[in-house]
Amino acid sequence: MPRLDYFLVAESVSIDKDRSTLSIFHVCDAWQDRPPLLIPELVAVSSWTMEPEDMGQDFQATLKIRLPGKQERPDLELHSINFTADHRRQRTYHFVRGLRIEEPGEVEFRILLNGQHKASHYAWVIADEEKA
Amino acid sequence: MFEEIKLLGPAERSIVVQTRTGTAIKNVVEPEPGLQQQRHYQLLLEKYGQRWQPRKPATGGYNCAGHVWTSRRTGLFDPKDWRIILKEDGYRQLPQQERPLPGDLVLYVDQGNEEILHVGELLELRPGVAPQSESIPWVLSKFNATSGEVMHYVGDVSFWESQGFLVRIEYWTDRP
Amino acid sequence: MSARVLDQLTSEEFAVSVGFLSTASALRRFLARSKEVADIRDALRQGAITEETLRRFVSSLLQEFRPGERFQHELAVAALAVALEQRGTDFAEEFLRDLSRLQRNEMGLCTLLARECLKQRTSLTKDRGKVFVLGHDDQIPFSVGSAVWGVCGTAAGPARGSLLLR
Repeated sequence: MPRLDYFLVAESVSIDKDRSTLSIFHVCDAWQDRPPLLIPELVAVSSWTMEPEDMGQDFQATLKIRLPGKQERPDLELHSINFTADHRRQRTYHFVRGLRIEEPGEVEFRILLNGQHKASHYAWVIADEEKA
Repeated sequence: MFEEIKLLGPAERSIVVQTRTGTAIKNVVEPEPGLQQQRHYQLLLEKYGQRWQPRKPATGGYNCAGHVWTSRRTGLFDPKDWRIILKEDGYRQLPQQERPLPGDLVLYVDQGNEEILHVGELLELRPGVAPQSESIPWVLSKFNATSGEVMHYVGDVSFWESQGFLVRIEYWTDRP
Repeated sequence: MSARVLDQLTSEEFAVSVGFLSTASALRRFLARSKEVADIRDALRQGAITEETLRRFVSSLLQEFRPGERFQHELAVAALAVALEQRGTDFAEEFLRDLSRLQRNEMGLCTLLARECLKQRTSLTKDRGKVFVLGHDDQIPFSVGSAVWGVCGTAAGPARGSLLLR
């Protein structure tokens, strides 16, 4: 099974096509605003290192988002990213646009590989009642 | 891996090769071809060289660039170095309207990535098929580090196309 | 199948097909699109040959190495290097690295070719992503390098159209 190198949720990423290097900007820790808040864009990045026995096999990376408090849909499961292990390292990117969070609290982003939960990234929504 | 080779230690022979402006050029003096390489060369001659005229049998020491730029002393294996030599030794590419002359160089360039595949020496301009036809360059080539030297018409080099290379012929000269 | 896939690397047909290629980079490009190298890659992927098989095969070839004489199986070793170029295993790394570090006239071309393969090998990482637009009907196009992206609809419903950007 591929080994997870890291899983992070951030505001944006940049990939240098020539060097194949990844830069991650503004890792999501917390949002301070008056709920409900709409997060225009974030990206969940996971990096997987293949083991020799993984080569040629198919895998699915699935992102789940657990939202705090009472929400119409507290758990979101986004479509999987499928990949075939043919390179030593596979990076997957779940770009999420328009995430709406109704209440303050902890947001959990979970990454699964072939249905197995591998890691979580936590961020918090902090209510800022002073904001209009 | 390759432990048995590592144990023998390094044994790469090279000589001093520089451009006119003093840039050192990497080179390797190649060993002579073995019986198998000589046989392969013979098979290639039979396959591609029906109209070639051999000058020298299969031989080591040098490759095409070594033939042209080091007087057959050694092999130059990096096409990027060949470009450096062309620039620093004062060569210029002939425009289409300018006729090449004996002593000029013939470059075979892979259009896929603009890398030089081979360089030969233009020996003479031979008459074309018909009296009014353009004359055809007759070239001396040593195709690789284990081949012999052959003389051939400039376009009589079909093997690269059959290998999937799209080749462009260029003429370069040291003449002003 | 495994014996044939490797034996063809030492055949006359293979040597003749390589022809007169004189530089490591041209040889690498030719081998990369050759049937023989594709066969090896497929055989490795399907498990018809293993890396241990390759190790033993190379060892048998090297028994015919004679100092001072051009190594007669240089093309076979070069083909294996190209076959392993994009294989992300320790064996492939070891093979290419060790071959690239040899300093023997007898197999100079495949040493140079291994160095070319290592340069290509820096791109061992593949990127794949998807854009999820939650609760909106618009598709927001953008382009990101050479990765393959698919634009999907909301998590609640089916994808609204698909836009692949490369």
